[in-house]
Amino acid sequence: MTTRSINVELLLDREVRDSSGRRAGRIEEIRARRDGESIVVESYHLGPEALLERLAAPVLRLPLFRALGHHKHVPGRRAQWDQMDLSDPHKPVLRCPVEELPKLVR
Amino acid sequence: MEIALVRDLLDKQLVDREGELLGRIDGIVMSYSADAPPQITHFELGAQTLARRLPSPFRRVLAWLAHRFSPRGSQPYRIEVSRIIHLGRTIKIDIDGTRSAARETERWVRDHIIGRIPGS
Amino acid sequence: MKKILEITLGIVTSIGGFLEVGSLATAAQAGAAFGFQLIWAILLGTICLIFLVEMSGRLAAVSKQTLAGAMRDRFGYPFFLVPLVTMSLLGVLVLASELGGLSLALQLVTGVAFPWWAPLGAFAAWLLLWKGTFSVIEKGASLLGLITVVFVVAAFRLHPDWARAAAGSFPSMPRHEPMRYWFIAVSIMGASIAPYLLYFYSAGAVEDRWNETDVPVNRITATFGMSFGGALSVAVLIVAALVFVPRGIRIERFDQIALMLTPIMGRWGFVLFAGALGIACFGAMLEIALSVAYLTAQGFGWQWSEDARPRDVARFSLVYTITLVAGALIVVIGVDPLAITLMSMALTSALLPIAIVPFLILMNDRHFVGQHGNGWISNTVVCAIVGLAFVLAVVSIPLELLGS
Repeated sequence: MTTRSINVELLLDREVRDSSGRRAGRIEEIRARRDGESIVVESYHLGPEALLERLAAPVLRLPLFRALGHHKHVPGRRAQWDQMDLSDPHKPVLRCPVEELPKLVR
Repeated sequence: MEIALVRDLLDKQLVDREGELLGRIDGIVMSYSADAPPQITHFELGAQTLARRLPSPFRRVLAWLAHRFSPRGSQPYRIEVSRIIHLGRTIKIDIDGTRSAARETERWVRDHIIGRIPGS
Repeated sequence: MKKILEITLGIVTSIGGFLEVGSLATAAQAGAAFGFQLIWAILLGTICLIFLVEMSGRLAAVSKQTLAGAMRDRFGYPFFLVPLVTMSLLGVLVLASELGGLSLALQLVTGVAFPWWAPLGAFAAWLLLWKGTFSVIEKGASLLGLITVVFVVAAFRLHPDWARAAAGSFPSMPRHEPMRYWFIAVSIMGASIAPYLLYFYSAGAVEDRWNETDVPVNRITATFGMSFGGALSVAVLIVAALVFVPRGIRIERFDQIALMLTPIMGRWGFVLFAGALGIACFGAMLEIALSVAYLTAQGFGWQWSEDARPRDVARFSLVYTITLVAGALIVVIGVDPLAITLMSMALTSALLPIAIVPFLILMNDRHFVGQHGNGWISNTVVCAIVGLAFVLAVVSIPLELLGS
C-alpha cells in the first residue's frame, strides 16, 4: 500500500488509456470535495483528445458560435477515483473499458 | 463543498492572513494510493514547479535558470492545504506573508536590487 | 454632482493618453499620401477600442480581477506565457517608438540629436513611476495631454471640405500605391487598438476598487474618452492632407511631419507640435512600462501597485525599470523612430488575436463576469474589426517589407 506524491498539474492533458488499451481521452479537470481540513479527490473528467477540438473548445463555447450551430463536439466522460489507476502517473490507465464511463453533459 | 481543481484552485491567486498577495498556486500535490481516494495535501509555488509544466525543450532551460538564479535554490515552496482559511475568487491562507518563504524572491529583489536604488 | 465630476475627469484622463506617436505618425502619413481616404481606418480602430476599453473596465469591476490576472486564472500556465511574452516584447518596441517620438520632439526644440535625449527621457519617465502615485501620473499626463487639441484647432482653421472628409469615413479602394495604402491602414488600426491600454486600464480599475455600480459610468467614459482621442487622430489626418498634399510632400522622415502646423500657426505651430508630441509620448511611455509590469506581476501573482513604495513591490518595480531600459537601448542605437513606429503599429495588428481572443472568452464566461457578459454586438464588432486588422496585417506586412 505505497503512497506516492503526484503533482496534479502534470496530470492534465495526459492521455488516458482504458483497460483494453484504447484511447479514452485526456484528463481535463479533477473534481474534489472539501472534507473539513482535507480535500478529497472524487472524479476525473476526461476530454477530447483531438488537439483541434481541445484548443477550439473555449472559442466554440462563445455565444457567437453557439448561435451559428457549433454545438457538436466530442462529449467528455467522468471516471470515479477508483476507476483511475495512477501507479504510473505518466501513463494513466482506466480500470474498465471506456464505454462504462458516464458521458458528461456540457 | 464541491471543488474543481483546475477551475477553482490551479493558477489562482493566494493571499495571506492580512489579505496581501502571496503568489499563485503553481502546482497541487496529491497523495495517491491504490485503494483510497487521493487526497490533496499541498499547494506548490515557485519557478521549478512552473518549469516542469512546460513542454520538454523549454522545461530544461527554465529549470536550469530557476535552479541557478532562485534564492531558494531548486526547492519549490509548499503550503499545507490545512492552512486554507477561505476559498473564493482568491484563496486565503493562514500565513504571515512578511516572513513567508513564498515571498523570498521578492525580499531578495528588494534587498539586492530595488532597495539599493535611492528613493525606494 | 460627484458622479458628473467623476465622469468628466474620466473622460479627460482618457483623452490625454490617446494621441501618441503611433496615432500621430500613421495619421500624418495617411493624410499626406492618400488625403481623406483613410479616415475609415481611424474610425474602425477607434470603435473597436471603445468596445475593448469598456470591456476591460467591466471585467475589472465585476470580477475584481485585472485582465492579466484573469487570463492566468482562466487559461492557466503555460498558455499565459504566450500573451505575456508577445505583449511584453511588443510593449518594449512600442515604448521605443514613443521614446523616439519624445526624443525627436526635444531635438526639434533644441537641435540636439535625438539619441542623446533617449536616456534622459527614459530616466524622467522612470523617476515619475518611482516617486509618483497613480492618480498624479494619470491626471497630470492627461491634463497636459490636452495640448493635442491644437490639431483640432488647426483642422478647423484650414476649412476642410467636410463632405469629402465624410466620404473618407467609408472604405474605398486606393487610386495609387495599393500596398502602401493597406499597410498604412493596418498601422492605423494597430495604433488605435493598443493592447497595453487594456492592461493599464483594468489595473487602474482594480486599484481604484471598482464594482458593479461603476459599470454604467465606465461605459460613458470609455465611449467619450476614446471618441475624443479618435477625433484627434482624424484632425491630424485632415491637417496632414491639407498641408502636405497640395505641396506634393511625401512623408519619409519625422521632421517633415513636424512642419505640419507651421503653415497655419507660424513659429508657434512648430513649438506646439513639439510640445504635443513630447507630452503625448511621455504619457504613453508611462502607460506602456506600467502595463508590461502589470502583465508580469499579475500573471505570476506578485504584489503590484503603482501607489506603493518601490521596495514594497520590488519585482513589479524591477519589471518596469527593465522595460524602460530596454526601450531606451533601442533608441540609443539610433534606429529610425519613424520606421520603428510604423512597424510596431503594424505588428500590433498582426498580434492582436493573441491579446483579444482570450479577452473575448473571458468576457463571455459567466464565472468571471456573471450577468455582465458581452452582448452579441460587442462580440461581433470586436471579432470583425480585429479579424480584419489581422488579415490585412498578415497580407500587407510581408509585401511592405519586400517592397522596401
